[in-house]
Amino acid sequence: MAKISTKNLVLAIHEMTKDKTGHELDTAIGNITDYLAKKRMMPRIGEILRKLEETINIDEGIIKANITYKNIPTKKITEEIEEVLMSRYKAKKILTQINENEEMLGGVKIEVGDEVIDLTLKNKINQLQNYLITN
Amino acid sequence: MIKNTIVENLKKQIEKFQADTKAEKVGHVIEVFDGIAKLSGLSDIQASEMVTFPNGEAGVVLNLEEDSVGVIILGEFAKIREGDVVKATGQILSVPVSDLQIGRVLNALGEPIDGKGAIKTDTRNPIEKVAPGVITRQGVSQAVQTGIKAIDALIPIGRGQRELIIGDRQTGKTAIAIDAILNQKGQDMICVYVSIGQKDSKLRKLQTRLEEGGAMEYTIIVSAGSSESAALSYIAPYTGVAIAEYFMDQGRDVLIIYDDLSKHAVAYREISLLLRRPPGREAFPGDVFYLHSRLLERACRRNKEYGGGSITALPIIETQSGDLSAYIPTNVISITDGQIFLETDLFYKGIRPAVNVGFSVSRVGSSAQIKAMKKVSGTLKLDLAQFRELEAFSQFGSDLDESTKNQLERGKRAVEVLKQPQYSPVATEDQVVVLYALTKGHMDSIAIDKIKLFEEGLIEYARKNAKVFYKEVMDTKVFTDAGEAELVKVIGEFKGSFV
Repeated sequence: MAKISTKNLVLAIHEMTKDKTGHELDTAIGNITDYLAKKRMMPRIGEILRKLEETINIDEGIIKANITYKNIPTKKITEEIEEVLMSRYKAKKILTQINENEEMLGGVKIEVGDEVIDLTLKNKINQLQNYLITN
Repeated sequence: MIKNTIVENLKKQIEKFQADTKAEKVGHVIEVFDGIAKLSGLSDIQASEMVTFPNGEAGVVLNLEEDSVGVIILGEFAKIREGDVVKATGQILSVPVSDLQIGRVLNALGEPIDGKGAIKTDTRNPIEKVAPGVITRQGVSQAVQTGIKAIDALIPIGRGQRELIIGDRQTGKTAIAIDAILNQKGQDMICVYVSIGQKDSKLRKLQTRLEEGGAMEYTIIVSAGSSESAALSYIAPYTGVAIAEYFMDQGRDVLIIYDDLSKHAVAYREISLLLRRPPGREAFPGDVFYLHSRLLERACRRNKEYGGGSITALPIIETQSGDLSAYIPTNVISITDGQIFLETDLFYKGIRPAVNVGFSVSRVGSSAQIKAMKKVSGTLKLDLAQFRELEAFSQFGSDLDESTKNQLERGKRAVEVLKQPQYSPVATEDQVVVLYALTKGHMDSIAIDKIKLFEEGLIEYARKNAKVFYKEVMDTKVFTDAGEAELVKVIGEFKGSFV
């Protein structure tokens, strides 16, 4: 029998649980847990939960963004960035994680899923270096 | 003053610079081993797309799996760590191409490795490209003169053809390829020699030989050495053909040699096994046929409407104990338009080039052979095949009729004529003269041990005295009755004076 991929499993779990509440949801979760245990998939539970969270977020139009600065900026700047990101990814809601990295020279780095918008000073200097070498 | 100029120029350059603020797709290294990396992320990546690692090394995507991406690392992989950020470039792997590459030795990424400085070019060609379609192609009609009598007369190669050179180790496969390159001088041909998994010392020797013969003026060497990773051996032939295509696009004729595709298949097997692709026969992956067919299909002759130009491919395959029925030899035999089979026994008998005429064939080359050569070598292949049969048969008895004896004697002389030392290509016109003398029986009375001497002397004499014949063959590629009569006269004269 073909191996069940994590992606397919997550989609199935999401379909099974998305419109359910209360007792119905408890029963569904119980069944899922039994199935995972029976199929010896418990070691993959961490990955499954992470993917399930991603799938639910996509379904509900939620995006998670990691924003890294050298020094935490004003709330206004962060809100402006969030607005830009929401319109870029057509998201209904944004969950922002603000990080501070003292090793950065300056600028900002935004990570959404596997996409990175690198506006750091270091990246610009690297680009300038490449430009000067090639021109 | 100079200082100010430098500062001013630098300022101007910096003013023109605009930082790129695009979003980049990134992934992370999950595991890295033996030149292979498994990455997470990179959701929109394409097959064969280039990625860059933090230490500047490049990689090429080979496996697109549900949760991960399999990448071959083109360079040093020891410094790549788990968790490193990998960036997608959005570009299919390409190599720099330029006229300035002629005479240079390049690595598998098209960068010079001969210490003669960088090659500045903005033009790049993708290493993977769909082969030219049927509409753009033209039949093979123009010959590639290798300067090797046994090949030009019996197994002719045409421009745009793919002719396999196959044989055991130490049978002279590379020697044939090198002779073919050396003979292209003045023939308006660019040569690309792709060395796959060869020793650097062998490559250096070969480069020196080409330099001595003046062949580096029209030759490019692409090398993935035996000390380099399998990934580089895998891409080297594609780099070679990408460079060849650059010249073909200019309407030029290119001769490309892949030395050798057995090592290429082995490198691909190594990569495939590391990428956990299912092994098939001899542990090669299922797509090893496609690996070579898509490479060799790029050899072609374009028609005039599509700019002309051609790529003639001479792939080399090394067999084990003469076993032609192994997986890779049968694959490449079926892909190519013929093969030149070299045999160890013949090599040690002193028949060099050790071409086994019976097993060698050129499926399309005869239409490219010049008429003069066709006229003189028409029955030679059949005669030689009959000779081999009779030779084996005659060992059992001494009572042979006159015609059989004559056939045997003629065959022995033919074998002697087709012997040729390495790095001494013979001009086509000279080949026609010698083969004419052989096939018309003018050499029948010459002792076998004197054949070589006779041949050399005849060429020298005919060059001076058979001017009409030579002019006809060089200009019109055919000889008339008048030219033939002159040649017969000259051969007679020379034979009379030959001691």
